[in-house]
Amino acid sequence: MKVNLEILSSAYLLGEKSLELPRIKELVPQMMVRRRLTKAAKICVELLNSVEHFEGGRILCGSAFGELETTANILNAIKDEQPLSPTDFQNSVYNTAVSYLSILYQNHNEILTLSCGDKTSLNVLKAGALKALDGDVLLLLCFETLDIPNIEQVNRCIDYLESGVALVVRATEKKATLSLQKSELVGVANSISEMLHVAQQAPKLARAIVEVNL
Amino acid sequence: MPKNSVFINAFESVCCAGESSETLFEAICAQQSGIKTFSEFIQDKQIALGKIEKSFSIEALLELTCKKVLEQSNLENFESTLLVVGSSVGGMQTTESIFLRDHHYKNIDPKLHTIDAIAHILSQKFSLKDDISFSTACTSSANALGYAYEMIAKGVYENVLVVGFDTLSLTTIRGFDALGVLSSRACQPFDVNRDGMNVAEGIAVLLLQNKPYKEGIELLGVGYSSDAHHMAQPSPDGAGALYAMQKALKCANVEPHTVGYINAHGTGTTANDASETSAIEALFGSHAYVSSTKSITGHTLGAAGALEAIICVMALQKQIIPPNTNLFEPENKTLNFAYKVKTQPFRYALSNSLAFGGNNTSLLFGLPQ
Repeated sequence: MKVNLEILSSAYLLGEKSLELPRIKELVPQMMVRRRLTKAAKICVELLNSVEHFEGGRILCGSAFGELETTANILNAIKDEQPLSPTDFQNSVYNTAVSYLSILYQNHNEILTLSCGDKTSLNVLKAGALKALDGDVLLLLCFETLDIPNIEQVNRCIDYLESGVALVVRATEKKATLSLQKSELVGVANSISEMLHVAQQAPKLARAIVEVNL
Repeated sequence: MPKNSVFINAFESVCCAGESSETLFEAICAQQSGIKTFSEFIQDKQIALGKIEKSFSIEALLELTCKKVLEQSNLENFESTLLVVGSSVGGMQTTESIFLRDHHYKNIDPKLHTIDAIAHILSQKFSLKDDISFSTACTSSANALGYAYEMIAKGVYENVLVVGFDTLSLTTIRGFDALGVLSSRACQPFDVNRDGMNVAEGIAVLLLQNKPYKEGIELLGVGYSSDAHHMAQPSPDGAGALYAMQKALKCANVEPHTVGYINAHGTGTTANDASETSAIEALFGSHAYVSSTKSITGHTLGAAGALEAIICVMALQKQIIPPNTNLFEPENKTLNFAYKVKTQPFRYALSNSLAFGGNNTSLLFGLPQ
């Protein structure tokens, strides 16, 4: 089955090192809340506030590596025979970032997170296309936050260590104007590549519509 | 949009309480817990866990479980089948063992670390058409089932294989210990004397199809919601769980008073029990039998939704209400808890899965029309 998704709004962030998010204090003014957010959660807050036409609703989010900083903190604590931080543990699950979005914006709708290696953002689009058949406007997100100490030991090909993409989409019967392919930008994580391509191309088109093959 | 029917036609599971779904259901009915105490995971502390007794690797066990499901089915292979995986920690156990041996990340294989490590392993063994992996903590495989339901209901696929999988890892064991919620004995969901949960490992595999086969049970509806309350605490009034259950019933066009059995999330923590019982009471009163089966299986985390879906399917097939083992003095006096196994005609069963981040999913199962 083929589903055409209209891209109503898009945004992306790319950082070779830790992304600067200068608006985060303004977007999450309560310091105690802000301190609990993971970097991925902050990226998702920034992206949500950069897109239009999404007033709360279903969210699908993808990440190949998830909350890598808290995962690394946990591994190091286990190695050093130290007690684990409860905050690190609760913030280590893959749905952490979007769960904070639901808490911050009181969104009680469906939120799903998926993790499919290099196919992650392609599968976010596929899942988004399936859900969009219900007639809803959806927020699709993907992120990677790899800027942790010693990541070079295992990372050999990703230059943009922190990245995130947001697309606001709905299903349409209209013809596709945009092909679904990987971004041509070298050094981005494969896991965000298809969504990044859509986010990069959509603003150049009067009407951005991408065909998703389920 | 017209909706296709969705049937669960084949399934198999492995957990601490049974090396097959049949032995698991027997253990549940006999109230024989698979939970045992261990002292090697946390220094100077005994904790109770659900560990699978296995003579070969968990990956080999996963392959074998999928093979058994294929043998039960009317399929010759999985070539036209979508694989949907739900897992909370994926290949974390492998990552831990490499990192604790080497003290660096160099030898960690990202393909075997991530959540989709399970899909990677199964794709090498079976020629599946496509795969997708969900990770939403303890609702992971319930959400995988929900996605599979939508894929078939909307006519995209005819066959979807759902795998719920999580292994014991130091991350989860010590993480839940850091939250202060681990019990030193088999858990007592909904009992005033409860003292926490049991982390466990489990594999649950279900084949969903658009046509019934043998004694296939129908998956009638799915409901999703978010608490929007706290990362690790459910909303005290159970509003999120209530919303998910209401949506599952609405999706299936089923009235609450017709539901015969609810397999509760029922972890045995104070916060979960209070929140979930409030939600169930608000929607069902004392109509439906309620039990948690986690005192037998432990909490298999990302696999729990799929494992408990199998328990609901078997309960419907056998027309048996599974009991809530270790429940002697319920905190909630209104709900109709199943203390002992009961043989009783019923048409619908509901399964709840509730997770970190306030992620809630309810699944409604029914006898075929």
